[in-house]
Amino acid sequence: MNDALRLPPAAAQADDDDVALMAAFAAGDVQAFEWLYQRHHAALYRFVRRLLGRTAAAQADEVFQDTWLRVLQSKERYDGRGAQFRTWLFTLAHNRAIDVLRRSGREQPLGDEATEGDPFEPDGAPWDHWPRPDEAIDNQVFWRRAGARLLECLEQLPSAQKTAFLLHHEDGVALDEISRALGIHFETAKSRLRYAMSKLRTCMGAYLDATSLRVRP
Amino acid sequence: MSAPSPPGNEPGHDEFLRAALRHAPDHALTPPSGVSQAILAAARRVHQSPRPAPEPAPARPPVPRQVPWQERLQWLLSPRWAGTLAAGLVGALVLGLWFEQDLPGPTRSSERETTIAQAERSVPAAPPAPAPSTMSPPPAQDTAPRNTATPEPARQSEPAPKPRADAAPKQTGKAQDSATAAADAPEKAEAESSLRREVPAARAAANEARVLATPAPAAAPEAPTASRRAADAGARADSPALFGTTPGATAKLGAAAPPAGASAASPALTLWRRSSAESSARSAIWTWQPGDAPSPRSFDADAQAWLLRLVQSARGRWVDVAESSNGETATEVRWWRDDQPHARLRIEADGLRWIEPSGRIRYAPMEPEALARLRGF
Repeated sequence: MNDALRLPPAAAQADDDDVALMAAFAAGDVQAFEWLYQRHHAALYRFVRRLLGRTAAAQADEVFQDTWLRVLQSKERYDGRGAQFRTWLFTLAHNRAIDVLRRSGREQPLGDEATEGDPFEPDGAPWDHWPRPDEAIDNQVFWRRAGARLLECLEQLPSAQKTAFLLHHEDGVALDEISRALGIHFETAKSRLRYAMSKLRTCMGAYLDATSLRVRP
Repeated sequence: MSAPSPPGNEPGHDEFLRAALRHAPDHALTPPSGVSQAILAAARRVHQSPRPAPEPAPARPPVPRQVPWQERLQWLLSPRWAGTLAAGLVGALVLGLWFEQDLPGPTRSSERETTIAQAERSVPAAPPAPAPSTMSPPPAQDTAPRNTATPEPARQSEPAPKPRADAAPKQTGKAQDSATAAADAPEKAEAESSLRREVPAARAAANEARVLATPAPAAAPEAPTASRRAADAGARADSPALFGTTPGATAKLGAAAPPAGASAASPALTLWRRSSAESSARSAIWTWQPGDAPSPRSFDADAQAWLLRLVQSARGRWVDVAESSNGETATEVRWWRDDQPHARLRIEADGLRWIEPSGRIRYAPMEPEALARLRGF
């Protein structure tokens, strides 16, 4: 990231100001774009890397760059009425990432009927040995291993479920906004999120060794 | 595990999964600084170099009444008519030179109607071995009857085939670009003459106008295979005409040419044509990032001249390959069209590797000296 970038002023930290920053950029204020970039670049890059997974990680930079270039091209069309800037940005990245995955043949096809119609059969029992949150605060080793394992588990999710989970859990996007942004029904989005969470919990349980990781003596 | 119960109709956040996400090893990951700088530079370019909008015509001061012949002279010298006349004269000159070159040939119009198979047959597969002391014409010229006293490049006796009728609708846009580029032929010829002093400027202009009017091979990827082969053949045959290369020079340039039948269309020539045409017509913004340049910059006249040198150096040597790298570090050159990645070139230790976003990769083996020259942007 460019060190010369100035951080946005405190007043610009509110989410609503993203729209104002985009409008300012469309009017010729380049610094407004730099603020937008400073605010969202890390989360977007993380989202792209996780969505593409290990196998397509080499394309992460390309997808990330294309997403921002698309923002530049759409600077006059975006008015904030369709979706929040962050949701719109992540949706652009999602669409581009899906293109890349399709092109490389790595996307797992997941139509609505395949997602919601097939019963989910977990490989193992859901893990129920999470430490209590107050204990977990001091157990950084546990959480780091859990985070690494979660990334492994994410690799096994179809991209549609992965998108729903990441947008919802990592970026705090509400389900109705996810469904609007991705152009799917609310129930579909909800189903994808539930499947994703269920699979992730099971996956975590299948691989995390509770006895070796727990804080509890 | 006890995840928080979902509020209402929406599944709730699983705080444990969220915590695991927050502690994932990639949480502090940020994009490479080069990518960030490229994006921010693109943002600055959006506002720093907007496409020139058509300026409103300035209000003309009232012209004092003049005598009739003065009025007529002024009318003829007005920019609109002077431009039209100049364009007409250039067109007539180009047409005249073309007629002059092709009349002695077998059958000018029938040649243009030749089938694609004939075109493939007539194009030389590879330049001949170098002839150190003689200026003998390439072998392909021997196959066509000629009446001219001076030897001409193969391209002049064998015009490129017309695009097939079924491919024509798909190439309408490209044809407009080519037509625009053809209108700019005099300027291009001027730049070219600085590279090839031995060829008269008028001949170069005529040759280049014909090259630019020829559909670019890569411009119609969806075209039938036969059309593509014909276009590739046209591109191979275009190169001598593009540079006004004399037979001797052709022989020199073809010293290390690949074996017959292995060559592919020159992607550099295709890019040069397209970028020249679109830059002239202002229909797209081309940028490039040569070597260690920190950020993409305008693909200006100097950059196009460099690309022309590359076209010349690698002429007839491109072959399709599957490997995107030889595994060694290389000088990289990238092109963007309207901020979209368009092509990537690796100047490797023993050749050039051209990589397109579509996945097509071409390789041209080169001598180290030529590669060293190309690294000097």
